[in-house]
Amino acid sequence: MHPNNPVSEASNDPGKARLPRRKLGRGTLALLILLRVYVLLAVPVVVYAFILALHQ
Amino acid sequence: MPHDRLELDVHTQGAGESRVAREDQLRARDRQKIHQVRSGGRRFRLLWLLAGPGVLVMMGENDGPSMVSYATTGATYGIGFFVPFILLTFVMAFVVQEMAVRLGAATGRGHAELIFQRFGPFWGYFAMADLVVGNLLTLVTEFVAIQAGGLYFGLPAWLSVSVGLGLVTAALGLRRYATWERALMVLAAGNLLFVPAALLAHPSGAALTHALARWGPLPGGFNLGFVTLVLANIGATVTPWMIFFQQSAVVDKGLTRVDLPQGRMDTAIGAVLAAIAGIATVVAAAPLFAAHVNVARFASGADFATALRPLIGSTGATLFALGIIEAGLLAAMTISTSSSYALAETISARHSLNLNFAQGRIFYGAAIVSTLFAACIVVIPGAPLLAITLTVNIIATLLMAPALLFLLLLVNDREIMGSLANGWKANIAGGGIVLAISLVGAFYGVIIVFPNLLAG
Repeated sequence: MHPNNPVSEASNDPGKARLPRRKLGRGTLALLILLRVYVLLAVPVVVYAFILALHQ
Repeated sequence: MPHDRLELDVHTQGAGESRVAREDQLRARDRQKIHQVRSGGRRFRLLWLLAGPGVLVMMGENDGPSMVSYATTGATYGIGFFVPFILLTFVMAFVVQEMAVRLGAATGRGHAELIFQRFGPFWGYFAMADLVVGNLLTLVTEFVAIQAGGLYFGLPAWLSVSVGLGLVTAALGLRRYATWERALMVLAAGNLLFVPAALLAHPSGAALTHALARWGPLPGGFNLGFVTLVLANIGATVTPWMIFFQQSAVVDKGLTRVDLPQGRMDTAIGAVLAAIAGIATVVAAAPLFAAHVNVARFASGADFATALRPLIGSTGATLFALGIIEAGLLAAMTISTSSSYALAETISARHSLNLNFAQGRIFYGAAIVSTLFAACIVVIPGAPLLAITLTVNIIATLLMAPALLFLLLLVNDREIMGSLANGWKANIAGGGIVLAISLVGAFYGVIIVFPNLLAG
């Protein structure tokens, strides 16, 4: 990319080079899994609250 | 003058391809104008040209369910704790969205694209599942708002929903990012209709000052209703679609590292305007609290307008109903576009509002199909629309924690961010928001499952 060149700046080509995959550390992986579990537990609770609200 | 005239006939991809894509030509034209204005030292004109994604994302998040949450807050608690709390949520929103702007300007890639490339498809599909579920549910509630506002003016549901669907599709038909953005900014100004509605409620300046200074009063104290409204008000301000939308819009608009100050200013202006509209909605609905009106049985945002008519007058009630329609319409446009950007980035399809329909079949198709789906749900007789509306913001808050973690990991990734990576202050702010949202969400879950915890 040429700095300050409107044409090169403007390119939004989805075929541009893929970024390399990042290696996730143990702590990061644990956090990602923890929050995923949090969402998987929370969604049924919200659905339960939704059903309760329907019957009130 | 190197940028006075653009040479568009340059090589961009392979040796055989000698023409720049239409979307890149249009973006290049916008960039050229920005270069000229910047070199001319016209600061306000530069801000005007670069503003858009921040204002749209913040005003777009003042959507149908958000305005219903704010109105419910005003009608349940009056002018008190939630006025400064809403301000705080918009500070949170600014912190989060500034990171999205930085990420987009530094990498030139959308959020979904970055998650897939840096974390792989396993985590990418989880993030997309959160986004798709959240966006589809939210889109339904936007059409609930459009339908409800229409009902206030005596329009049948099918008509207002059809008009809404037509307008969302027509906006996509502009096939030009800059025009789409400016058209939506005009529509976004309608969010400020809640300000005159609030003034017609004749709020007490002393009560507002007391609320801002003392974070009170909080009638009824700490109970399930309070926690639900805290979650709903957070969900009314920070949601996953905002991150995906603003980052992709920043890339589509062509913002680069040098445009970051204006990108931040755009986001800050959006946050201030949206906070004003949010607080105005609380203030406009506060007379319902003073009149002890029970809003628990209200079916939609339009019921607030109807109930407010004897209290703030028909002009105020009409402004309120129009504001609800605007909120739903603008959000339907921005949220459906956020889904389109994310889907197209995921499957490496072209993604830009500068594309024509033939080039952007997947991009435009995703927006139109998801909008059509939401519109069809709303016109199903007997669909539990109010319950969906109130639940959507809570779901958005719960889905926000993992979305924020991805955002934090990406803005700390020095390989892609370079010198624009997060500093320790931004990490503390971002980490604090993740923790706060997770804890409030977990607390909500606990008291739903064990309601007697707060009974004593």
